[in-house]
Formats: sequence, structure tokens, C-alpha cells
Amino acid sequence: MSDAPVLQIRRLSVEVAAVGERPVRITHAVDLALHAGRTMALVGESGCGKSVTALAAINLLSPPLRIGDGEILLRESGGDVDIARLRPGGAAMRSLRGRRIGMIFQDPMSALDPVFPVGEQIAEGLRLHLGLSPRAALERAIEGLRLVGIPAAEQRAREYPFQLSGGMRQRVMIAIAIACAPEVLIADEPSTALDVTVQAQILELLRDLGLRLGMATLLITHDLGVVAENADAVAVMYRGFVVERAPVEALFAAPAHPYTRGLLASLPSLDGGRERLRPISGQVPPIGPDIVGCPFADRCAQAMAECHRLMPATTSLDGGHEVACFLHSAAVAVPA
Amino acid sequence: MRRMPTKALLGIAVLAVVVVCALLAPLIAPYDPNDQDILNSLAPPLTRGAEGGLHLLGTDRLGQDIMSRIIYGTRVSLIVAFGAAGASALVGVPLGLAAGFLGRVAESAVLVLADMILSIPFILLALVVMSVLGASLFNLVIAFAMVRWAQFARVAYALSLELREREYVLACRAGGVSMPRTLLVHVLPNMLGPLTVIFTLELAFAVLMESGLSFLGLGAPPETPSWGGMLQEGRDELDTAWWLTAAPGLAIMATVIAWNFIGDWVRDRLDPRTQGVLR
Repeated sequence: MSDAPVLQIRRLSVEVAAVGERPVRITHAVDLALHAGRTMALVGESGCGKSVTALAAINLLSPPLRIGDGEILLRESGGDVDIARLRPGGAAMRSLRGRRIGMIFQDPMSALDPVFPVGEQIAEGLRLHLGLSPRAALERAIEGLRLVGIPAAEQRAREYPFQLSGGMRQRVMIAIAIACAPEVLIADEPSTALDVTVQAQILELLRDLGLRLGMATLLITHDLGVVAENADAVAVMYRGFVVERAPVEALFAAPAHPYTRGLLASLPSLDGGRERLRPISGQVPPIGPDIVGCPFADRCAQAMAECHRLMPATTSLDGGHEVACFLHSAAVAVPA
Repeated sequence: MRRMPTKALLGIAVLAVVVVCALLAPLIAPYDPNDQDILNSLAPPLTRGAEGGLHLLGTDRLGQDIMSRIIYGTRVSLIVAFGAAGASALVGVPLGLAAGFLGRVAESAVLVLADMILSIPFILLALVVMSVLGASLFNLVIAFAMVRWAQFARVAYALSLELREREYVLACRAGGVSMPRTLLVHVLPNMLGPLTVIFTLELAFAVLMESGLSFLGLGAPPETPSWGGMLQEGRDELDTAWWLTAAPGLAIMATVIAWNFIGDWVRDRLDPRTQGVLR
């Protein structure tokens, strides 16, 4: 497995640009690198900027949201393509979506078109991107349904979304996303709308497909349990900032950012006795024009004076572990 | 395939009769619709004519055979109804979609224009258009399209507001489907049910308004037999010769009801949830 990332997001920021108002940044300098065959999890609570980052990665933000600055580099033999520079509605961007970057959405109930049989919906991408004939595309679609573990695929391909269960629909969504064998798969909370038992199956399927097809997967979730079992690396987001990034084992063994520690402490443990869960006190501060200092400072038990004044830059710890916090000695403030 | 509901069959049967009448009017009609027989003017239904033929539905003030005029009237009725509703939909639906999906400028422009047009009584606007363009069936269709597009645009816009929030529209675009194709292939079919209902209402509306315009001398040319025109001609004789208005009135009613039955059926057919799971 080569070490060069397939998709690299560099210092990406997303902003809200309402007409006649100064744009407001909602994510700040997000760095992510996705490698073939590996799964990167992006974790954070609601509204921290996970989904917006995912949509920005395929240039699908709709007004008033837009990419502020930064690069989204998709590896290509003749040099990387910067997705952030492509016109969102342009042909160049469209030829990447679904072809080289697949996306899975949260709600399988509403993410399929109700008036077409599911087989045709999978076939559409194959016809558009690979120029297959309707018949050949439908055959590939049926293969795709088999690949995602749908029994009696030929019959299912002729059925409409309302005839399938939630888990089945999510499998169809996955089949649509991977139909053209993309190099990158973005899964935005793929299991949130499903039953717990089905969740595990879907996540296992994603993991398995990622390995088998060598896809780089970005798994967006708010569930640390999902991360522990299904990801290779994690990025923790808080209020638009990536505050910590680490391989999964390192993160769970030695969380470095107080926010990550707080998240882990608020989970019930299976092996320990019955103990009171420790929630993080306070609330996520609202998106506002100005952030002075670390966004977590107000809720942080270990906050120091400088935390309220300056944003810490990302510091590298051992083994690919990175954190943005002044508790770690080498940390310096981000130049404003 | 399920069995077709009785109402749909009835609607299609009536519409089939109308279409056949329109296509084969010269073969079916017992008389020339403009043949006058003054001696037999205002004859009640089932009267024998001068040449011994039967006036099944009676005659009008000029002794013209009502039955034949009804049969010829299907032509005007069909042309105006489908032409008007079709042209309005052709203009209005794309504008409504544009308003729903193509950003704020398009949204405001279309909605403000639609509101302005819908706030003026139709007959007034149509009168202006018709007096500028002149009275002919083609111009009548143009007049309808220039005004009634707003109805389709508003409905298509309202439906877009709902559909654009559905994840599958985003999912299509995330799959690399272009915006025009997304709208045409994935959004429009999901609107067809409500739009069909609007279309049938517009068909009925077109027939009624055509009669209004004919009365004012700005609808179908006077020598063309039309149901609306016949209604208006019969208005003066309402207390003495009821068949002058009853015959075209019933024809309009039957046709409009037929369109509505068909509209309901099409709507049910287009909604996958109402098609049986078991085939």
C-alpha cells in the first residue's frame, strides 16, 4: 500500500456567506488525509462541521455555504486535481462525483428516488460515467447488489425503494456509491438511521468493501463505539476545528485533548462496574464571527489563561498522534 | 397489472368518444353544422327536419342542428383545452423548477411575476392579449399560455420546495448527475401526480374560459361551432329552448368529469406506493 494519500484535504475552511453580510467561517483549517484501503473517522458532536466538511470534499455545498479557502487534492497520475478550485456545477467536477468519489448519506429512507426501481438507480451512474448500455449497466447493477449482500439481487433490482427495509436501502445506497469503483468513499453517518443490529452489519460491510476494493473511506460519525471498531485513524472535530488526530489505538489508549478525554469519559464502559457517567459540562458555543482562543476553553477543566486568548497550533506527539492543545509542551499559538 | 378502476374506464370511454367525434366529425355528424333551416328554428329535440332527417337534439335559432354542432364542437374544445393547458405547463413547469432550484434571483423573479399575473382576473388579461393578437384558436392558446403558466409555475415551485430538501436530490448530484438531468429525470417525475391534477383542472378551466371569450367575441371565430359559443348563443332562450344550453352544458360536464377521472387514475398509477406490492 503506497503511503501517498488518495485524497488530501489541506487547511480547508467552509464559510457561510449570506447576501450583504460578512462571511462567517464555520470550519477552520481542517487537514485530513485519506489513504487507499484505510478508513479515517471524523468524529464530533452535532453541528461541529463534520457533514459540511464531507460535502465540501465533493464540492456540493449549496449557498449560503461555500468553500472559504484550502485545498482538496485528489491524486491523479498527471498531478493532483484540486477539487476546491473546480466549479461546483461544472462538467469536470461532475465527472469526479460518483466516478472517483462516492458518497453515502445518512437517511436511506429519503436518499433514494421513490419513482425508480433500485436497479435503475444504480445503473444510472454506470451509464453516465462509464457509458455502458442500459442492459450492461443493469447487469452491473445486479452484480453490485450481490456485492453489498442483497439476496435475490435480480428480483430486488426491479423493486422500488418503498419495498425494501431500511438496512436493505442503505445497502442499495452503498451499491450506488461504489458502482463505478471510486477511489474515495465518503460515508456521512451511514448507520445513524438504522437499528443497532443492522448498524453493525452495514459498518462491517463498508469496512470489508473498503479493504477489498482498496477504497479510501471517510467515515463521519458521532459514535465513538463505531470509530473504535471500524476505523484505522480518527480526527476529532470540535466547533469547526480538528482538535486531535491519531491512529485508533493511540486515541483510545491515550487521548491527548481534554475534549477527547471528556468524550471518552462520557461513554459507559462494558468491563467496569456501574459508575456515574461524566458528561462534559456546558454547551457547544454558537457559531459566531469571532473565536478568540481555543473553542473548547470555556468548557475545559484544565484551561489556562492563554487558552482564552490564543488558539493552539497542532503539535505532533509520538506515533502519528497530533493535538491542538497548550497542555502539550511544544504547542505554540497559531499566528493570527 | 391490476384491473383498471371503473371510473378510469368511464373517463377514458368518454374521452375516446370525444376524440373520435373530433377526428371523424364530417362522417359522424348528421348535418353540416352551419346548414341553416330557418323554418325549423328552435325545434325541440327529436323533431323531423325539412329533408325528413331527425334533429336528435333539436335546432338553434338559425335552424342549425345542435347534435352536429356538438360533434364539431369537440374539435375546438379539444384543441383549446389541450393546447392551452399544454402550453401553460410547458412554460410554467420549467419556470417553477428554476424558481425552486436555481437560486434566489430566479426564485424572486418568477414568483413576483406569477403573483402579478394571478392577481389580475384572467378574462381581463386574455381580452387584452386577444384584442392585440386577433381572434383565432391559435391565439387563444397563446393567450392561455401567457397567463396560466403562473398556475403551473406556482405548483411546480411549491413541490420543488419540498423535493429539494429530499436527500436523493443531493444524492443524485453527489453521484455526478448534472442539474438539468436531475431535474428532468428525478425531480419532475416525482411531481407528475400533483401536476396531472392541476392539468385536468386547467383543461376544465380552458373550456370554461373559452366560452367566456367566445361570448365576448374574442374566442373561437363565430362560424366555428364551439361548446362555449353555443352556451352563450343559447343564453337568451334559456326559458323557451332549454336544449340550446343543456346540450353543450352536458357535453362540457361529461368531458370535464372524464378528465378528472383520468387525472385521478394517472396520479394513483404514478405513485409507487399505491401500486400493489404483489404483481
